[in-house]
Amino acid sequence: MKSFLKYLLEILFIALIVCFGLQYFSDNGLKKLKGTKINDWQNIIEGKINSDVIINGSSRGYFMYNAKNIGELLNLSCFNIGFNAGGCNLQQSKFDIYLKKNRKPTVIIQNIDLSHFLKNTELPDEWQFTPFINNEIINSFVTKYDDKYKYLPYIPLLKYNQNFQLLKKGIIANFSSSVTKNDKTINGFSPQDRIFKIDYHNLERIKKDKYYFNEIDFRNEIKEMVCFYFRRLDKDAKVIFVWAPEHKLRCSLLFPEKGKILIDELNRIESNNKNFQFIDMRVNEISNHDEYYYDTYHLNATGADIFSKELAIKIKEILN
Amino acid sequence: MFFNSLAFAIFLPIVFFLYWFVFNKTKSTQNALLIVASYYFYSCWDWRFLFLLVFSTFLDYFTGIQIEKSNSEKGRKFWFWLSISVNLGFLGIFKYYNFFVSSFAEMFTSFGFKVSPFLLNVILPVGISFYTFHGLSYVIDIYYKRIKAEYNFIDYSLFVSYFPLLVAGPIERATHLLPQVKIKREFNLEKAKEGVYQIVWGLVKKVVIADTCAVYANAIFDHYPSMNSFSLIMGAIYFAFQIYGDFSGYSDIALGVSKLFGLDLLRNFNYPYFSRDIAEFWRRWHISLSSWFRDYLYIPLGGSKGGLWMKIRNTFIIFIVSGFWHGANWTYIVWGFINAVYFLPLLLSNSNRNNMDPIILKWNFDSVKVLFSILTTFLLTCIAWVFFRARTITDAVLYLKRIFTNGEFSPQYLDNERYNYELLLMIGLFILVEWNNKTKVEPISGKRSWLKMALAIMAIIAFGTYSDYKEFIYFQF
Repeated sequence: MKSFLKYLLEILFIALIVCFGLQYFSDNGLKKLKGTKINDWQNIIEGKINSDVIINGSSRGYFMYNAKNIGELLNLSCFNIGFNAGGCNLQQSKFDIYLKKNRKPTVIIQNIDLSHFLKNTELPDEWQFTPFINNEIINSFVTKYDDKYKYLPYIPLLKYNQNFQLLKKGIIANFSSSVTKNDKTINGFSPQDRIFKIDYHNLERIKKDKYYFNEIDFRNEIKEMVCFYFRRLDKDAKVIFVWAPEHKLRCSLLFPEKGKILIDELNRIESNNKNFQFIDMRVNEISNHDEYYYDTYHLNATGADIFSKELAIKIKEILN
Repeated sequence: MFFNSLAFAIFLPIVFFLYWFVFNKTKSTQNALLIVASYYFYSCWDWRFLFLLVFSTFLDYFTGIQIEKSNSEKGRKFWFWLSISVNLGFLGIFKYYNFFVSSFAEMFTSFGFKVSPFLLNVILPVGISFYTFHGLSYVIDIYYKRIKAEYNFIDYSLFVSYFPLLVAGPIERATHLLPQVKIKREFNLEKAKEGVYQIVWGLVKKVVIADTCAVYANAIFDHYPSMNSFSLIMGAIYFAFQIYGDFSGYSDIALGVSKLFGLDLLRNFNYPYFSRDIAEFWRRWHISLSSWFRDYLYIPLGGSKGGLWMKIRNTFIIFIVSGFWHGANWTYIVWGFINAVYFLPLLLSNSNRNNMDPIILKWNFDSVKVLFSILTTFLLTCIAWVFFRARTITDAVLYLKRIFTNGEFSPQYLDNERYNYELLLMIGLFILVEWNNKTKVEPISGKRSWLKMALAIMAIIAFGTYSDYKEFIYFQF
C-alpha cells in the first residue's frame, strides 16, 4: 500500500511539473509578445507606462483613439487603457489598477456615450487575464466577477482550460513575434483594418437599451464619473470627456432626450470646473462616411486616425 | 454523484482509505463498507429510489433461494416468473409505461378515436435497466441450474449494488462477480496501478473527447435544418465519438475504480471503431449487454439453430429489444432495426464470425482492404447513430437527407466556435493512441507509463470540459 501511495504522489508530482512547465512557457510567451493586449497589461502591472495622457473608454475608446497620433500632436506621452466590451465599472477598475504602479497622468481623455453607463456583471474577453491570474492585483480584480479565479491559481494549466488557441499562441510566442493584424496594439490602441459591415445586432440592441436607459440617473452618474477622476488625480490635472463620432445610422436611433440630459450636465460641470472639458464630436463629418467605420459602432483604423488627429488639435487648444 | 465530479474525487479516496485501513479485517467488513458506500453513492441522485433498489435486491435474493429450495417444478416456475414479472414490471412502469400508452393513444387517434391517455408523472430511477438485468441474470441462472443461490444477503446485495457498476454497468454476471465478493481481498499493487491507468484514460475519454464533441454534436443536431452537408457529416462523427467516449469512458472508470478495491469487472468495450464488420462491432461495443442478450434471449429463442427464418427472426428480435432497452422512443427501436439490417447479410452468408483474429496491418493490398472495411463499418455505425441521437425518426431521416441534398462542404459557424479544428486534431490523436494500443485494455500501461499518465492528466486539466458536470449518456438507460 505504501508503494502505491508513493507511486500516486510520484505521478502527481510529474504531472504537476509538466503542467507548471507548460503554463509557465505559455504565460511567458504571451506576456512578452509585444504590441498585444496582454503585453499592455503586463506593462501596466509592472509600472512601465507612466504616460502624461491616459485614454479610457469601452470598445469605442479602445478601437478609436490612436494614442500614438494624439501623443505626437500634443508632444506628450500618451497611452490607451480602453476596455473592449467593458462598461464604466470595468474602465474605472482598470484605471485604478493602472494607478497602483504608474505615475498619475496629467490629462485624462474619457470616451463617453450613452452605452458608457452600462455596467458589466461578467468579465468580457477573459483570456486577456489568463497569464496574470497568479498576480495579486489582477486576481483580486477578476475574483470580483467570477469565483473560479479563487482556485484557478492553485491548479496549474486549468486557467487555459477550453482555450487551446491561447495556450498554443503562448507557446508559439516564445519562438515567433508575429501578431494578427487586428490584435495588434500601438500604445494600447487597437487599430481595426476592416471594411464597413452593418451590425444589425448592435442596432437592435439600441432599442432594447431604451428600457435600461430609462432607469439611469444620467446627471448623478456623470457627476460621479467626473469626480472619480478628480479624486485620484493631482489638482491641476485635466479631465476631458469626449463623445466620439457616431455613425449616421446610429445617430437616427439614439435617444435625443437622454443625450440632451447628458450633454447639458457635462456642459454644466465644464462651466463650474476649469479643469474639466467636454468635447462633443458625436455628429461630425466622419459620421457620414461608411469607409471610416467597420460597423455602425466603431471607427476602423483610417477613421480612428482622422478622428484622433481632429481631437488632438482640439485638446491642444484646451491645454494651451 | 458523477465519476467526473469533485464530490466523487472526495468520496473515492475516503472509501479507499476506509476499505484498506479500517474495514480490511474480513471479507464481511469489506463488503459491508462497500454496500454502505454504494447506497450512499446511489442516494446522491435521489434517496427515494434507494427503496426500489433494496426491494429489487431482496426480491431476487429471496426468489433465488426459493427456486433452489423448491422441490416441485411448479414451485420453481412460480418463483421464477414472480421474479421475472416483478423486475420487468418495474422496468415497464418506470421506463416504458408512458411510451406504450402514448403510442397506443396516437394509434387510436389516427383511426379517428379521441383518447386522453393517463400518463405517469415519474422520473426514471437512475441505473434501473442495469441493476434489473443483474438481478434477472442471477435468477435465470439459478432457474437453469447454472449457479447455486446465494444465501449471504450482504454478498448478494454487493453483487447488485456495487457502486462502480450500479448506474451504468457493465452488466455483471453472478458467475463472475459473486465468487470474487465471497473472498477477502488483499491489496495488489499491480492491479491498483492498472486501476489508476483505467480511471485516468476513462476521464480523458469522458471530459476531453466526449464532452467536447458534445458541444458540437448538440449545436449541429439541434440546428440541423440550417446546417450544410459538411457540418451534418461532422455532427454525426462528433456524436459517434461523444457516445463512445462517454460510455466507454464510464466503463473504464468503473473497471478502474473496482480494481482499486480488488474486484475485476467484465470488460465492456474493446476498441469498437476498429471493427471490420458490424458483427465484430457488436462483439466489441457494450460487450456485457450484447452477451447478456445473446445468453438470455437469443439462445433461448433458438439462436442460430433452426431454419433460415428462425435465424432472421431471432436476429431482428435481439437487435430491436437491445435498441428498446436503451430508451422508450421509436428512434432507439429504429436504431436496433438498422443494426439488424446491417447484420443480416453477414448472418446469411455465414460470415458473421469472419473477423475474430486481431487486426494486423502490413504494407500490402490486404491491409488497404482492412482499412477500407474499418472505415465502411464506422460509416455504417455513424448513420445508425443519427437515429440514436435524433429526437424523432423524422428528424433523423431529414438529417440524413440533407447530407445528400445540401451539397455544401464549407465549414460553418457553430454555437461555440472554439475548438473546431483543434477538436478534429484531438480526435485524430485519440484514434492514433487507441490504434497503437489496441491489444491492451488501456493505452497508458507499459513502457514510460509515468510520462503517459502525466500527459493524460495534463490533457484532462487543459482540454477537459467542466462548465457543468456533463451527465453520462448511459445514466438515462
